[in-house]
Amino acid sequence: MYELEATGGMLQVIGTDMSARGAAAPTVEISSDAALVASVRAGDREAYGRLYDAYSRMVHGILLARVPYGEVDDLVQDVFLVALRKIDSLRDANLFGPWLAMITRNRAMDFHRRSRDTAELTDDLPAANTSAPEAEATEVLNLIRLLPEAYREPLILRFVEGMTGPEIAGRTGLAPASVRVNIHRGMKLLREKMGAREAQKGALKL
Amino acid sequence: MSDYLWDKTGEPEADVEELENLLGALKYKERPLEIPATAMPNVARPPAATMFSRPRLAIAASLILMLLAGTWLVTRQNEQHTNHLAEDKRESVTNGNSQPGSEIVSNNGTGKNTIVNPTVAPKATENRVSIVKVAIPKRQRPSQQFFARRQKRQQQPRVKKNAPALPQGEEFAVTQEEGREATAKVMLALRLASAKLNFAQRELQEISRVER
Repeated sequence: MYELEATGGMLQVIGTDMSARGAAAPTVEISSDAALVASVRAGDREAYGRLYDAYSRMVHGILLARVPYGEVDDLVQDVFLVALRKIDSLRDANLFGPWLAMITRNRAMDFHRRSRDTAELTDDLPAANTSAPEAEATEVLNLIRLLPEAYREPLILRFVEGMTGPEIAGRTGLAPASVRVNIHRGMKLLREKMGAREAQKGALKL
Repeated sequence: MSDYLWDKTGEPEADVEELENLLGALKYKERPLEIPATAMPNVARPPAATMFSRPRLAIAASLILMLLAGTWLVTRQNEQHTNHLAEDKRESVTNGNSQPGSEIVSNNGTGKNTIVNPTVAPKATENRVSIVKVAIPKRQRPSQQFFARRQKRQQQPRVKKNAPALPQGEEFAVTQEEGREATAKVMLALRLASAKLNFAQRELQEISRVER
């Protein structure tokens, strides 16, 4: 399914469902972040729900690039509540996405600051009760987390959340050119790391 | 040129598609956002948070009250001072210090009294306006003498020029009593203002506690 969205004053065609790629007729939905933010400021709960629907994947992806998988879901809710509390401080309502991305990154840093004194983060490793594909996915996710910070976020948004490059740029407020470069360079490094991992596994089997 | 990695157009690369399928298992499982009732802006916000809230009004009222009390006290003291001077002048007139037929005109507010004698025409020289030419010096650095003079001035006790002579005897006691009364009134006004400010602060604390 495709949707047409106005983000930051720019219209974008966004692919949201990989399985139905190119098969279904595109439904056109025009929504403006500014209008939704104005409604939220007026006390419209439903409008905030729509912003949540539009941006929850972005927030999840940004958090996943920084904090353990098990903590992310709760932090997503937390980020949206913080944003709701601060929404009056948002100067340009068209920049809701970049503003929310910034809040998310700050929240992730805050999480690490708070947990530094309590315990080491060990739940990046697959738990005993996780399924084999999920364990493998977590393993690849850990490989992505070893990449430089600039590549982590776009790669996770691309592969985990299924967002396209233009969608990542539109939602996070980053320049499309830099997102493109980061995805390609990050992919190159990830291929190298995955190749090294396969070679290591092969050596262990022998 | 199609670029599947960038915008999912064109022929998908095998490893990219594999990563999509693998990592897609970790994607966000949407769950409804739980918004507390008090978290929504402009909803369930206490009316006290508006511009004309009770604490703000209380503070404004206290300030206005203090200003009015101050103005009243200053005006009253000026009037008393003027009356004292007028009485002094009257006494001096009755003692024969002024010409017969003259009367005292009191200018309230300015604190100045003039003696007007309608029978005696003012001298022509009195109406002349004397013009004193003052040469304005150019801006210069202050000399050592200037600093010495200033230091000397600072060491000397300050005496107000043309200050009225302090009242003596019974008059002094009356003036002192009036001074005490004025002080008591000022203290009362300050206590009232302080009580109102305390009330406003308590209200603000209560509101912020409820908001939390």
